Parts: sequence; C-alpha cells; structure tokens
Amino acid sequence: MKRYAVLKGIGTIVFGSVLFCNSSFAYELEGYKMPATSTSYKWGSNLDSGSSVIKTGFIDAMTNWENKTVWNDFFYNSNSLNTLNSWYEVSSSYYGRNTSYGVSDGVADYFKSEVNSGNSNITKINVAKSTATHELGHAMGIDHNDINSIMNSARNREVLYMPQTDDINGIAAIY
Amino acid sequence: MLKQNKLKIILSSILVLGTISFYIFSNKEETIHVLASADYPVTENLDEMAIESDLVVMGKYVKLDSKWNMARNPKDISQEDPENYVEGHIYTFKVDYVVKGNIQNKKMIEINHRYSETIDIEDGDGNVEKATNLDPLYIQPDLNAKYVVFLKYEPTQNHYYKAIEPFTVKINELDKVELQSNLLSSVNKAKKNEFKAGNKTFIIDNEIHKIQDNISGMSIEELKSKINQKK
Ligand SMILES: [Zn+2]
Repeated sequence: MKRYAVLKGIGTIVFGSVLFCNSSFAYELEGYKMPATSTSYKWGSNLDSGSSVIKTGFIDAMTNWENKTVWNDFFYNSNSLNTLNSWYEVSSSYYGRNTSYGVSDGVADYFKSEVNSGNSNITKINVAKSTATHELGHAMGIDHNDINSIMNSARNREVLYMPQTDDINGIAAIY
Repeated sequence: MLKQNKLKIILSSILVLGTISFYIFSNKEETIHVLASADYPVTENLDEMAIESDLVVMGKYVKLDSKWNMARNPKDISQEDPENYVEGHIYTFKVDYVVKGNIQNKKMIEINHRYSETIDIEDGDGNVEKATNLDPLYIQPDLNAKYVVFLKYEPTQNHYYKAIEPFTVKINELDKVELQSNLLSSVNKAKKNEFKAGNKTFIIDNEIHKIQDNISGMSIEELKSKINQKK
C-alpha cells in the first residue's frame, strides 16, 4: 500500500513535469521584444485610406492579441515608426512578412508587418486574419514552431486565425 | 602668471579631450541588425505537396529566361511596384512527363523562382539603405539534373510558381528521389545577409523553421504512385 503511494507519487511528478515542459516550452522566442506592451502603429500607403479585407484582418488581429494575452494595446498614431501595410507580390504561396529593426540589444526599435494582397487566398477573411495575427506575433517577439499555434507555417489559415494557448504563453514569457 | 598657465593647460586639455572623443564617437562602428520573417505554407508531407499542386511534372530546367519584379503596383499589376522590389527568376522547364494536371500540347513551361527582395533600412542618421536580402529558400536549379516539380498556375502572368515549400525533388542516377529545400535540417545554408556601408554594418537575419525529410530515398515509381493516389 505504501509502495503504491510512493509509485503514484513518482508517477504524478513525472507526468506533471512532462505536462509542464509541454505547456511551458512549446513556443519559440525570437530573442527580442518591443519596448512596451502598449505600442503605436500607423497604416502604410496601401492601407491608409478606405477599407479592405487585409485592414480588417489587422484590426481583428490586434484586438485578439489585446484580449487574449498580456499584451496591452496597439494604438493608432500617424507618426508611429511601426507600420502595418500590404504589398502585391505575384505569388500563390507568400502570405506575409515582418521585419523588425535594431534587434541586437534584445529590444526592437520598430517593425513593419505586411500582408501580401497578391496572394489569391488572402481575399478570405480568415486567411487575412491568420496572416496578420502571425506577423504581429513576430513583431511582439514569438517565432515559428511546429505545434498548434498561429506561428506554425503549416497551419490551416482558414481555420487557425486566433492566438492559441502556446502563443498566449509565449507572449506572457516575454512581457 | 601661474594661475594663467594653469587655466591654459586646463582649457587645452578640454580641447584635446573633446577633439579625441568627437573623433571616436563620429567614427564609431555601428551594427544595425534586422530580423526578417515570412509566412508561407510549409509541409513535411508528400501528400500535401501533391494536393496543393495544380501541376506536377517531371523534366529538366533548360535555362534562366529572365528576371523581373514580382512586386506589382496594386492599382495596376501590369506595372512594377514603385515601392517594393522582389526579384523573380523565370526558368524555362522542359516537361518529359506529367504526373498531375494538364499542359495541353506544351513541351515547355515557365517556372518562377523567388530570388531576393529589397529591404529599406534606416541607418539611424536619417539615411535609408536599400539592402538586398537573398531569399533564404532560394536554390539555384541544376541544369544537368532531372526534377519533379510541384507547381501552382498563376493566370495573371501565365507562369508557374511553387505550390508549397518544399516544391522540388531531384532524381539521381539510381532513379531515387532527393528532396530539395533549405529548410531541411541537413542543409546548412547561410540565412544571414551582411554588408557594410561607411562605418555601418547591416545584418539581415532570416528566420526559418527546419523540417524533416520524409521523401528522399523513394524510387521515382513510388513517388509517382503516391502522387496519383492524391489526384
Ligand atoms: Zn512567420
């Protein structure tokens, strides 16, 4: 009976630590962060006026990061150094890109997140949202992985467009 | 008299020190580090490569036909984008066998390979450097090798593009396939582009995620039959 209790105890510890490892270290980090969890943005030339599925994608993406994670706020400021934009690249496979500048000291100076309007799939709102959410994830400092995550390049973009548990944990680990 | 000399020494010391520190600071080597990441579909699975493709063909790259700007003006895609430059290399590919899809009676098709992009980087002094970032996924096609390529058709340009990453498979002399991708753990390709302008060093680091190879070593017949099952 006593031996059973000890075994059960060991089992719980082993099982618990496996769970702990899986849930805590599944995300990957870029190695840099933004200076604060409240960060301004401006629209780039292609999204500045009017509305588009990509602009809606970015707006929803920002709201989801704010609501689901410790990230506090993305707020509009026409003088911001951070830019959200689209570009038109003829490609059936390129969805988006993020460039973060001045990252060597671990804090990015500014970023540029862009969604490719030349990708024929991007007219689907979930795909635009998934791409925008992914690019903002890079801007905040989380990196690609191969788990159930917005940062997985092999995700189904029509279905997976919200930050997942590991993305939420990743942002919490940085800020 | 002594007091005046002292003052002179102090003043000239300040001048000398000031000049030296100005010289040091203005010539300070500076590194500007940029991290570039992109979102494109990736798979480790042959079935998915086949499903994503409009066309799967076997054949050979014949020549580099032309280079062009894949970034187009969003208001009129017949024009180049004045703000972005993404270099595409268009290769002529001679088709020997169609595994999936239809090219009517054509023997030659054009395949676009994304080669590089230009990134604007502020140097901190108000100047913008136009930096060339070689695409970390680019592999120069081998004109002497046989390939199976997984493609999507692009109607606006009448070219074919990669369906997904990876999208090319080489066939060796033993008729076995070798998957081609810089994302394979076995490939150690520099993903950093570095250059100097004046006293500034610019580093563009490309963020990529490694994948497993579940395809290499298959016979060409096995590859074809697996693709046929997914048509
Ligand atoms: Zn990415």
